[in-house]
Amino acid sequence: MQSSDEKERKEKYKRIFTKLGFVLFALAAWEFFTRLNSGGSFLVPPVSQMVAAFVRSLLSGELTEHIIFSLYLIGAGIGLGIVFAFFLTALYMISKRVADILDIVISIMHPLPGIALLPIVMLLVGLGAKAIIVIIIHSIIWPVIVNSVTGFKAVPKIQLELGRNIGMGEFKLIYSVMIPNAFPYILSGLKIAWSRSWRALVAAEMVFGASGIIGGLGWFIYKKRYFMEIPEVFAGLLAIIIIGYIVDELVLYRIEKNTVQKWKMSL
Amino acid sequence: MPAHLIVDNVYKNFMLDEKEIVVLDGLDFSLECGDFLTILGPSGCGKSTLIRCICSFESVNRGNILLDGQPIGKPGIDRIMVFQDFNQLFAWKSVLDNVVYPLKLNHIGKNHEDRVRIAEKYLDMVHLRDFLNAFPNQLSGGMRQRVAIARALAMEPKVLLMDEPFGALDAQTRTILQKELLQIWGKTGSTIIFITHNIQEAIILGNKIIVLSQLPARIKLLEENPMGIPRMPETPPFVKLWKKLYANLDVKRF
Repeated sequence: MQSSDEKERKEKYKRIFTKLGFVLFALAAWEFFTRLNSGGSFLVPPVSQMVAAFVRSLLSGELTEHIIFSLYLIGAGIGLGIVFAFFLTALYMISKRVADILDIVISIMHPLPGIALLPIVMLLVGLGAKAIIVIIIHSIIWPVIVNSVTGFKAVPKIQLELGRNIGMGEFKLIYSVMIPNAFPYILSGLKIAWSRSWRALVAAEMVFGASGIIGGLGWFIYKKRYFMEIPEVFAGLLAIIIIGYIVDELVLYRIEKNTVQKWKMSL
Repeated sequence: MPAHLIVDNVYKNFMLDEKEIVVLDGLDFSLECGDFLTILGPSGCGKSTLIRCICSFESVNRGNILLDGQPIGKPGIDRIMVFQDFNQLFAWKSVLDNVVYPLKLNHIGKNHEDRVRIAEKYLDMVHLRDFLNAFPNQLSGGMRQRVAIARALAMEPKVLLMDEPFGALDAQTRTILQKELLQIWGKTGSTIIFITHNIQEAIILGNKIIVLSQLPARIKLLEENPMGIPRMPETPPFVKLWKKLYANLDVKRF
């Protein structure tokens, strides 16, 4: 046991080292090649300039403001989207009619890019944060419904019979048998929701400009490109990457590791 | 005093493509407390339908099933089913919690410690004491069936229903689990109905054996097992009984 634990730990460090090594190598190469061109290329700044711009705009509060606003939009969009999605999923599971209607709605709406809807959404709910939140909701609600419904449909009959056998009522069955059984699907739906909401946010802001008074990260990037402050453009991207990585690695991956992976329920 | 479990003239049909198919055709038998009944029958003869009716997963069209004189109602913990499928545990709960949870749900045991004690006792019986904290998907098929048996026993059902629980196991594991089940039966005195299509298994386990006919299922033979435990396959009474059961089993001959 001891030695296999030791081996596992070594393997883990090796993998972290490989990943970290690759990133550092890529950054170094980036720095080197951009510096070759007498003190830095205009269109692709060296890493050091990008990091400097990142720190500078973070400290000045400009980038920080945009990050906070972006997170607010994402939080509102995901929060509302998930509530709607679970509500609709419940209706889908309860009523065959609703299921039929939702099936057709999903097949129409799911492939439709949020950006394509933005002009109409803006006419309906106005410019500003609301329009972006609606687009974010649109971009996540369909995949979350599709995943959850697939998960619930895949619950083995035997698990429901077992639940009834040990004395569960209908509500308890949903809560204690169906949801845990469908959890791997639900989680993968949430992961899709997270990455999709970012894309929707940034894309919408870039195409249609600031949402609200401040604007999110998409607007920050757009604005900086307009003034040709290229290191700041990269700083905006860096902010998105860092937030994405933190949520992916520290939130979603943690959840997965402590649930689905621990139970060996991976899809 | 009436028998512990009475299956009284039970009749059940299905509609398949607007055609009526009779599955159970007037089944009649009764069990005393502590009986171990094995039910043999060719595949597709309605063995599973019968045990599912007793568990109230399906309703009968005519006739009654009485447990201690009372008609059975909804599915409940007085009749616990152990399925053939390995996927009958909650994958998100540890082995221990899989056994503790139904106890908690039904307010069996005074407190959590008491329930853990009960669960450990039965997990001990199926030799899984070292795997209390494992998750079902980390276990082999045989071990998962053991957990399911421990979980069922812990609820102390009036009848333990087993629908070919060893059907998907390899021969070796199967033999071991048969032995263990007999030991447990000796210790707990549970009343068990055990479905199988394996004649040897039926003889080794059951003190009563029923042979069902091809569809629609009728009782072809109800046999008391004359042998005491352990029942050895090479002994003359075993062979005699085996031949008798085999002769009554409608095995399709091609």
